Amino acid sequence: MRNDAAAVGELLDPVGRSDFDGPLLDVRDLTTHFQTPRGIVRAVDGVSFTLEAGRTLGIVGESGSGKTVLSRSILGLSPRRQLVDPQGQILFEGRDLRPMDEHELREVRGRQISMIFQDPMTALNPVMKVGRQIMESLRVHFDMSKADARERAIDLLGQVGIPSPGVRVDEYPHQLSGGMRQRVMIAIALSCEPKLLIADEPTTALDVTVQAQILDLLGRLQSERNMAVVLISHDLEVVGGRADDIAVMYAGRIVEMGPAAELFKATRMPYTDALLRSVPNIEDPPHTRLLAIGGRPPDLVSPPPGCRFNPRCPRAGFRCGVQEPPLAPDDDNVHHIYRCWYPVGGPTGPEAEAAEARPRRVEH
Amino acid sequence: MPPDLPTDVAVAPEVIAVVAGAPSRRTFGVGAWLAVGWLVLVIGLALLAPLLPIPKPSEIIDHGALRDAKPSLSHLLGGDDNSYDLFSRIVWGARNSLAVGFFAVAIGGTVGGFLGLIAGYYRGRIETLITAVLDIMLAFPALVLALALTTFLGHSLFYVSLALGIISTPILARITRANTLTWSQREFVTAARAQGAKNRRIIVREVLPNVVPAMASIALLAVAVVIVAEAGLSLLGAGLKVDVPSWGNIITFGRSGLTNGQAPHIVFSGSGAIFFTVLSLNYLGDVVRARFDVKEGALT
Amino acid sequence: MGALIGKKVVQLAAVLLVVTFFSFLLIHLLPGDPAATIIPLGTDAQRTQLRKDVGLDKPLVSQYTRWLGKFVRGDFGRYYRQFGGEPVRKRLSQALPVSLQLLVYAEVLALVIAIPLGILAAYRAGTWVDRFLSTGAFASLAIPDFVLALVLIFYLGVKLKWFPVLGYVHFGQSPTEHFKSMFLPAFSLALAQAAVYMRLLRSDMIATLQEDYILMARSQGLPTWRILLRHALRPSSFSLLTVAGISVGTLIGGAIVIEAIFTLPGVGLTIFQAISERQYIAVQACVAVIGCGYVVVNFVVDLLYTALDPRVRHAA
Ligand SMILES: Nc1ncnc2c1ncn2[C@@H]1O[C@H](COP(=O)(O)OP(=O)(O)O)[C@@H](O)[C@H]1O
Ligand code: SF4
Ligand SMILES: [Mg+2]
Repeated sequence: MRNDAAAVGELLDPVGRSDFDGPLLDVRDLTTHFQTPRGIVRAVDGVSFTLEAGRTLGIVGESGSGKTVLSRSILGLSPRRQLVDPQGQILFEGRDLRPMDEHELREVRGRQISMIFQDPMTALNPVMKVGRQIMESLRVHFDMSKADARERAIDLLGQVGIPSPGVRVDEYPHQLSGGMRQRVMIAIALSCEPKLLIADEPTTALDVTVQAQILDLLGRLQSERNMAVVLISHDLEVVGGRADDIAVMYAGRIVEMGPAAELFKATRMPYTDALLRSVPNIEDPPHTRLLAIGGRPPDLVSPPPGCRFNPRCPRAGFRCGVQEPPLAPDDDNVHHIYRCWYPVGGPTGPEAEAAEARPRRVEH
Repeated sequence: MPPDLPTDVAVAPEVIAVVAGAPSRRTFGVGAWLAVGWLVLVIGLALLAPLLPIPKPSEIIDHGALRDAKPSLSHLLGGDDNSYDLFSRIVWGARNSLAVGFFAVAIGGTVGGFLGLIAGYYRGRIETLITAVLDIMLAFPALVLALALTTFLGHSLFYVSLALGIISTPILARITRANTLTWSQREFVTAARAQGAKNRRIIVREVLPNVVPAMASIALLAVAVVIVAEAGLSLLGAGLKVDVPSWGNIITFGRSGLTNGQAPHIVFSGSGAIFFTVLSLNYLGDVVRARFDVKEGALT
Repeated sequence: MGALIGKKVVQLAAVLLVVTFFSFLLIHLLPGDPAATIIPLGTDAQRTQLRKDVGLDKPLVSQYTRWLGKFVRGDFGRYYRQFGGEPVRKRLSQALPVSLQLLVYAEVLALVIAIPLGILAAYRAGTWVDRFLSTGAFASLAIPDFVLALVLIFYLGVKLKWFPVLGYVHFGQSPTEHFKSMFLPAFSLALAQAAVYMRLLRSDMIATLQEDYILMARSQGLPTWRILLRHALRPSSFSLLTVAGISVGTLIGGAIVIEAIFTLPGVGLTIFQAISERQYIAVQACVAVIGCGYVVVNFVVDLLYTALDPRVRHAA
């Protein structure tokens, strides 16, 4: 089964493996700002990261932190008419996607990079049979005949674990359960064997019991195909154990990033710490967690000066409200970077500032 | 309150505002003033027709010399095939066409408004009954219903207005019912009911004033529909009597001048009068609808 | 599904009864003695024949059942002329195909105009293209079909002589001449309809284009035209199709006037001539036929609508 899939993948891939040996995806200083009646929304504000082939990057942050905008920016799916001065580079196998027009991007979308969306109910076309929705990409990217595409669609439905795929192929999304729909969406996204899959909250809309199944399926398909994955969630736990690296986003910026184990073990940024210490809320419906800190993410039209987290940060000192901390590597591990003046593990802002102020007074 | 309901790009209100904002007629702009200006002009001329220094509509000018004459300074729109002064025909025609429009919609608005209020407020069986009656009124194409009535009843101003009033009734009833439904569920209505106010009083004092904007916006459109229908009936010989000046009759009797290429201005004058009036009414209807946020969905 | 259709068939029957009853009653709206009004110049023998045909001396309900029985069997009464008079059915059976052709051409033309423009306006929403199309649609809505017809007759028919000004050519006789004779009438009817369809499609399509599944399709690298036509058009066309069905009524009303203007020998021309010749029985028959046709068309549209939307199809 596994070999079959790989074999078909090889067959399908007319381009062949690229001989490019840098990182698969290299995002540099990405900026996505929207023009709105209220002003400019700085939804993504200078984000950089890299992702190697076959690896998984988790992106975590509260709702409204810019995860979705970031993921859509990668494929140029942001509303173009609203964009203000888009900056940065999105190097995919060394080619910059940012300046590409719709026509060029179409070769990349679905074929090289695919996306799956949060809610399979709304992301599948309600008046199109699921089989046809899978066939669309195959027909466009591989110029397949209807019959071949259909056969391949049935095959894909089987691969994503849908029972009796030969029947399901002719059903409409509303005839399937939520978990099945998400599997269909995965089948669509993987139909053209992309090298990178961006999964934007792939399980948030699903029942808790189905969540793990879908994530496990994604993991299996990923290793079968040696595919890189950007796994986005507002829930650190979803990303935990499944990502090689984790980036934490706050107010349009990456505030901490590093190897997953390191991030959990030596959390530096107080915001990450708060996410980690948030507790699942058993009584409320799934996906609700109580953040250990109060407040809401800032207004992205006019983010607060200094560290963007400072109005909510329990460790904030005077400096935090004035000067923005740079994204700098940790002393112990250069791969672990974060933005904070007074990281967890050291003195808090008020403590440090008091300590700094004292000797100065003595000098006078 | 769950802290994390993800907001997605697709539902960002700004996006929708940009897209849906195409020809919004929320503001009372130049277009609306032009529309009001035209209507004031036409209605003014129609009301003042007998006082205006123009020939009588059925006064043969210069022993027939004005027959099919082109527009000139002394006769602004020229003459028609009877050698009547066309401007005078248009002004007197406005009198009749607008009268039909006004009376028909007054009938439709009164009957339809009443039915709609009752159905929307009391709901239940009476609503089912009224809805069924309205559906049946809509079972005929409007113009066919109207021509059937005028053909068998007669062609007087009263019957023509009545026939066209009947076809505008279901339109006005539906919009009234839909709006009554929403307004009847508002707190102040429930509050009035809790205080023991009589239903009739609630309908008249609390519901009706709120439903009026919706009715008004549709009534403007209905007047336009009726004016067009009057002309349609005339062309079929089922409208006002042939000797009565009306925009429809002007077009009907100008047709020969158009097809023989000799006097197209007769048809064009009548058509122009209808076009600008309908355009103005539609435009104002849109303005009212946008102003009071009348749901278009309620129309179907 | 079966129960749903059953219920709709019962409703259809009820509405047909009401429509025919109203048509039947028309004769009784005539002032004075119907027989005298219907045959003002006829002989007494003709009047007696008429009273017998219509059954004027019987109670209303039995008159109706008699009339309905004949109507159902296709006996629509006859023209009453001083000398003889053919059955109305003969005229109507020749007229119906012409009217149906006109309606179909008009509806098709309206959709052919509206769908591409509606898609374009939605796709380019908020731009000058959209504003231009919307303004054009708004103006078109204020042009009554007969006014458009007369303007087109004058400029394209009388002045430029591109199209015949009146008359009808059978398809079998000459297909090109047939379409030439039908183009102006069909276009006159279609323009305002197209404006309505375009606006509807535009606004539904704008809503559809905001949907996640469109974003999904874009993220899969599908070409824009494919997304618009294959992914967005169908979910955006339900109100369009419903209204297209409903507006067959508007079209039928308009077609009557248009046929009269272009002297196309359809039901409209038949009813127009019947009105001017005061052939009340013929008018009544035409009204009943048009009314029933309209109700049936709406019924069929309703069923089609149910069949088109899989969400409705699979419900219950
Ligand atoms: N098209 C848009 N126009 C204006 N603001 C937008 C647009 N799309 C997203 N935003 C804003 O950008 C911010 C980030 O949103 P999003 O990326 O959806 O957050 P997340 O996915 O992390 O929950 C939000 O404040 C959102 O309102
Ligand atoms: S920089 Fe200051 S405000 Fe920002 S996270 Fe660190 S301690 Fe908190
Ligand atoms: Mg999101």
